[in-house]
Amino acid sequence: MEKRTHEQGTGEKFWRSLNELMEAPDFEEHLAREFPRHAQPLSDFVSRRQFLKLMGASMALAGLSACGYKPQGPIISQSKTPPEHLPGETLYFATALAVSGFATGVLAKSYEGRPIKIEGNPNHPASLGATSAITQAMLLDLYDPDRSQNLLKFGRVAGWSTFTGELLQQIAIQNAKQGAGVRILTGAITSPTLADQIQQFLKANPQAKWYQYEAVSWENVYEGTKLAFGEWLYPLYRLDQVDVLVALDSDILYSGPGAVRYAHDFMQGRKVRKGQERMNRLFVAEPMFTVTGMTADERLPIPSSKIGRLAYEIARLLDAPVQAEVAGELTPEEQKWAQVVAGELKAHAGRSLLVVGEAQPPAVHAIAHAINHALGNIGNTVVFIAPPEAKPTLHTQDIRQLAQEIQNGAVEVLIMLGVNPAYDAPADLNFAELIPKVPFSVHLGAYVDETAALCVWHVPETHPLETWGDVRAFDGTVSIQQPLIYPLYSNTRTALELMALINGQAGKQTYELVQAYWQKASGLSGAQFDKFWRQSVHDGVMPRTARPVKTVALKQNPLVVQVPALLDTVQAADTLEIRFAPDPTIYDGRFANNAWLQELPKPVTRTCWDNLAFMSLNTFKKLGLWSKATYAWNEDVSFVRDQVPLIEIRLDGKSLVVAAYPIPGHVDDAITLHLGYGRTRAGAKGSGAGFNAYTLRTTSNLWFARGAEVIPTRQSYTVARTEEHHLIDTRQKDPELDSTAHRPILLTGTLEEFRQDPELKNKPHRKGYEHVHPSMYPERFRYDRYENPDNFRYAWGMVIDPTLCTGCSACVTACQAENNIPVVGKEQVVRRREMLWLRIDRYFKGSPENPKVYQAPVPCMHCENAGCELVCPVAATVHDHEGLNVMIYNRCVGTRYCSNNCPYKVRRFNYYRYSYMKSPVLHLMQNPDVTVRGRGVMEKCTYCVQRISKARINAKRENRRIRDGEVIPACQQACPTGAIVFGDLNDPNSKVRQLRDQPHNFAMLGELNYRPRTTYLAKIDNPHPELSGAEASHAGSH
Amino acid sequence: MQEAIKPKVQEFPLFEGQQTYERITDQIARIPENPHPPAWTVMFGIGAVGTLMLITSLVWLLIVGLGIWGINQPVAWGFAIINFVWWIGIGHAGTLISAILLLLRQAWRMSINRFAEAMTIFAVMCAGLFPLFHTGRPWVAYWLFPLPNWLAMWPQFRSPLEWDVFAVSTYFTVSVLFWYMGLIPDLATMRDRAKSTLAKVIHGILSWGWRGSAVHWLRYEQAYLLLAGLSTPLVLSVHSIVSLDFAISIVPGWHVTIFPPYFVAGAIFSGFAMVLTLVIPFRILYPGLREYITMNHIDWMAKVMLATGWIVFYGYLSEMFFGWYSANQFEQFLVVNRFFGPYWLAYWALIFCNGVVPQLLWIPKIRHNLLLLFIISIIVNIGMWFERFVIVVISLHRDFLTSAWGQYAPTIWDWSLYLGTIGFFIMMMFLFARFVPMLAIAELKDIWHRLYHGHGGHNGHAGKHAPAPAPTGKGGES
Repeated sequence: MEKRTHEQGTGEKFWRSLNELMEAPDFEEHLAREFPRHAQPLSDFVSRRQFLKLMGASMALAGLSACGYKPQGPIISQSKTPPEHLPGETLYFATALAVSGFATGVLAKSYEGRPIKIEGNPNHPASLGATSAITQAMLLDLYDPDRSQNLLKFGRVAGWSTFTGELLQQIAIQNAKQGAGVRILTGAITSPTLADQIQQFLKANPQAKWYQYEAVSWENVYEGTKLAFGEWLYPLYRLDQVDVLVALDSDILYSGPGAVRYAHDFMQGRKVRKGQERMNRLFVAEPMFTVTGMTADERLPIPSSKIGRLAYEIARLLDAPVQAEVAGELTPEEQKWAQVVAGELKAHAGRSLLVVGEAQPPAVHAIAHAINHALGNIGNTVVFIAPPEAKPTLHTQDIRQLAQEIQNGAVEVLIMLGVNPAYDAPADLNFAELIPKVPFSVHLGAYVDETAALCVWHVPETHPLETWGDVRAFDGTVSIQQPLIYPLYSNTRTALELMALINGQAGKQTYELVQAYWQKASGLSGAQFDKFWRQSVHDGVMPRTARPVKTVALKQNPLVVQVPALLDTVQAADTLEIRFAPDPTIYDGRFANNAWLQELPKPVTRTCWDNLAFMSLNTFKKLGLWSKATYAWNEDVSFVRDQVPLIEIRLDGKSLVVAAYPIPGHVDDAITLHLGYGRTRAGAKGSGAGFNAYTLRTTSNLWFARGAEVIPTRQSYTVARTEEHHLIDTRQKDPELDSTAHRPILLTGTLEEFRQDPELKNKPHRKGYEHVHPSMYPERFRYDRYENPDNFRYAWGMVIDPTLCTGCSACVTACQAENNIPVVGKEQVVRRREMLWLRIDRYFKGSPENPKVYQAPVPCMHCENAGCELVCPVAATVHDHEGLNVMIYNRCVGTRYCSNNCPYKVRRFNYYRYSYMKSPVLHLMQNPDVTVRGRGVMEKCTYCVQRISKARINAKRENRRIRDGEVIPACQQACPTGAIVFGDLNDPNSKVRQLRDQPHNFAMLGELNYRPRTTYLAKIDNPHPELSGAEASHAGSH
Repeated sequence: MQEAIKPKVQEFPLFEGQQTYERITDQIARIPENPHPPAWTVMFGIGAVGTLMLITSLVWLLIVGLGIWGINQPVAWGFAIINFVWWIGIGHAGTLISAILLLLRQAWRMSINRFAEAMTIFAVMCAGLFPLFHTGRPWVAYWLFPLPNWLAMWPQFRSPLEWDVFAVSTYFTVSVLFWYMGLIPDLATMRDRAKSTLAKVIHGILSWGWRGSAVHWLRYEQAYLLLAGLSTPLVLSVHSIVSLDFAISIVPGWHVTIFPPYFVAGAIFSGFAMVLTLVIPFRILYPGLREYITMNHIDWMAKVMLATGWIVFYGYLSEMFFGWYSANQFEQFLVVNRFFGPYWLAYWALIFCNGVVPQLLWIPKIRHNLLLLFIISIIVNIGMWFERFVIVVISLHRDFLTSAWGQYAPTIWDWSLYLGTIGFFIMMMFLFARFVPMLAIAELKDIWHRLYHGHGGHNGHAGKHAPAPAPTGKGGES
């Protein structure tokens, strides 16, 4: 800080009197420069007193006007507490959080004025009460100590008066030129109010231009509908209506705005129960496993560049009205797959669906539309709406045009709202070099990121939980965002405020702007509007705002599409395909500094804190990397070391050094690179993690490209992962057993097997489980012995249905947020000390070329005969009368024997003081109902005992039993598919008891007789008889 | 007692060279009295540096936390427990020699028991450090003791770690008492020989007014025998209970019924190896000791090692057999994982060190080659350390759920603490050599008396000295 003052030189200014100085218009700015910490009274450190005062004020107002508040103006003392505000009680407020402009409705849990947990909003179409891991983790963004807090000019703290003066001066100059030199760059905008503000500006300055750029955009989807139907449309899938779903290079259940809803809907058709023995079928063709691919009944590994060929083959077999010139041949396996898929689609016409991922070119989307049209699926399983964005656009075209204009010197004022093109724009545009060419550039962002560093001005952005706003869901439904907390940092602004400032509406609050817009848009006024507004804010959704379904017709019959030349490339053995994909957790890089998402093991690879060059085992071997990276005593049992080789990938004259990692199920001769890593200015956690895949991504190779060259280097790289071993059991001695060591962990079966024998009695897993172990000791904790007369005794238990689990990991992050679980960082994960109480186990079965994946969330099992309790010398882990295996942190001395004796290894130990948070702002985030664990104690899943206690208090007050469904642990709450069910096993009518009584219920490692309270249903899948047979013989040949 | 000893001992010389009571006293007592040899300074220095390293490691551990070690989930126990079991095992030789061999009336124990008991005490000190500091919160480790408190909170007595607390603390207490009891007559000798007042006072206090009266000797002998009786079950119980730390659990590789005897045998095996490791250099450093710790003593110790080594090796073989015979995939995998898993080197090192190398001891020439014997004893010590590594790490790193498998690698702090305890041990042994008579003077004289001057001895006990027995061959009696 001292250094900065010296560098500035202006700090040496002399003045004659303090008064003179203080009256100077730039006093504020000067103060900020001299004492940057004083410039932000609510900075990183918020004093409790100050905080409560502000919160008290905002809460008081919340009581008056349904959570409205006035950030500025007189503070009203809380002499009368608003009725809903009870100390120690939490309140829920409906709001919405958006990624790439698309909202997920949430209920934010507020404790004494601080949001401490994000939960899904059951009213919201994109949530239905569940969330994704990203939505859960957006809470941490609010409290991130690395958030930008100061207005910066050329990287130095500056004052508002200077900024406003300069900005308005520039705008005034531009106004004279009809805005000819102004360019606004935003992400995808669905917010009607913000779009309205931008449009107002454009109206006043017709020469100005508004561009949108998202690194992961839906432009191919829009172009695809344009090819097929003549206009840009957004497809909505009705996956609960689907009997056969074919996903081509599409991660429909995990990635994209509607994924949470889609996962929910799709799994409605997979709830296999006794007497309900039907199931939909999922076909996936993709280069690398995605969450959708892991869920697939039949999966085909195929390069992205061949998807078009495959789709056309399916179209041809179905006589779909589409014509294209395609070259290249499908392999016999792909051919067979296409035939089966076509047959299945046809057999379920009207209840089937073929979807194509956003990475595929428009022509492939058009082929898919033709297929769905031919099958009569349009209108049944897929409908089309107008794009939810305020101004749909082609993002690549936008950014390219902007780059050109900057290059030509046409851009004088560049306003970038919440985007980071210096990092994520296509590499051939060299956007980072262009930004400094703009004379006046303004960047609004939550972080001083790569773009902020290049701009003249950086304005810190307000977090959506701190401000008003509005945003649309994937189906167009509008949600009003309401603030949960006064902005933590006084200098932050929203995009809306900034646009209002530019539009000459300085001083208008977001609340006024949003309300004014909707007053106009709804056409309501007075009490009617108040009612509408209150209802919308309260419910978190605005009624009747979903985009109406459009009736569509094919533009021409048959469609004639041009398949890009790339797809015609014959797959030569030595050309490698590079496929870019958004990272499963940190997305396009915007969440790079979110430690929860960084540490969340990626659903497929179980790696964290990194992106890697994923490739098949064969390719890995072919590149000569196998021996360097693996430990093996023979071909059958081997695993990849922590140290993997670095390779250099060259593509179109660009190169990237990246760590290579083999992953089963990846198609050969292809490499998948996840975007979002390799950031240089993400913040303390995100900077320097992973490799920047954007350096290879160009406008022509936006999603995939062929012809990459790989040069192994001599260096190696340490990867962090939470599951070290892959399959690698190619022997197929007993295909029912888990990989590597032939151990029966998950009970698995096909739908056909379930129909014949719902108990799956012949499976190896049942062998041990069937055995009854009598005991001389009284079995006090057996749930089925909890009979009358003491009917008030609860027997808490959980049943997990792996069939419904996609592996999306929302439960893991939800658990982390609920239970104050610390983040330990990459180095500690490498040393296998991650603290997540809930993990998702992933097992491969079958050949490494195309294995089946089985997943199951594994929390503490709360065993009735818990081995951990037996071996603790100080009774720090004991059983309670309701069957919970409780952990007494205060009593724990940390011998860790409990963990050793836990066959599920679900216990986590504080090897360091992980819970210590240097930054006080993070303390605001902690859940006050959960103890923060200190160094040297063991911890583990508690079944969210704090939620049980809360329900018990409520029930006792009303003198009743806790109702079924009243206690919902965080994992169950976040799960989009309902794979986790918790409840009272002593209640014969409870949902959990009914699942536990299902014939295909089993205990993991049941033969150990620990009698876990968490049990699983068998993982049932629905393979196609023709394909599975083919694959078995295929696998047998290895 | 005397009668029983005699016939056995007659065949083997327990002394070398010409002995008198005065000579025995002088040879042993003058070691602490005289200035120490330069080699002592070197060894003590090494030990002191190690001790400083130990202290540093512990202080840093307390400041930062267990994270400085290599332990993780799933391998939540690492070097600390390995070293704990290793040190406890080393201690066992001392107790065995002093207690069981006393009860079995093995006269040859007399020349090495003081030394071995000291080793036991220092080894248990090193061992005890580990379970204390391996806890996450050592400052509350006292909760493992059943101390009265207002919550009426007892320890959890079903946990083998709790049994451990009692077993190890009892063991340490009894070992110290036993050692100190035996020292009292010798301390009195030291007092009587002392020239400086300080030495007189210190030895006077420590010898509790020992005057060597017949009543003193009577009480002494009785108490010593009683303590020997007390110690005897401890030899078996301590390591049995340590083995239960593992055997009580369900971890494949730990859940083994043969653990108690197998651990006890292993402890004696490693204990004798450590006695040899120490005795051989001490004989060089203090040539006077050679007269009392003869080649025959060394030969017997080597034979004990050979015998217990076979018990231990039998344990390894039965583990392999039961892994296969159990028909349990987890147990079977464990054996395979030991053979070929990531830690195969540790397992085969164990088999080599404890199974193969000790077979050299069948050859008498090797048993009499001090250099080879020293090397073998070091190898056995390493092998026994690997045994604990195999048990702790290999079992834990890959147990039931493959998803939870992991790897373990010690850090520099693991090593520094381990080497630190070795340093501490060396320092204590050399301090012991510096200040305390290393061999039991009174007992040696007693043996000397019984063998060559006792009832039925041809020279009577009138103060004339018998001709020294020949270094090898038959004893002096005819």
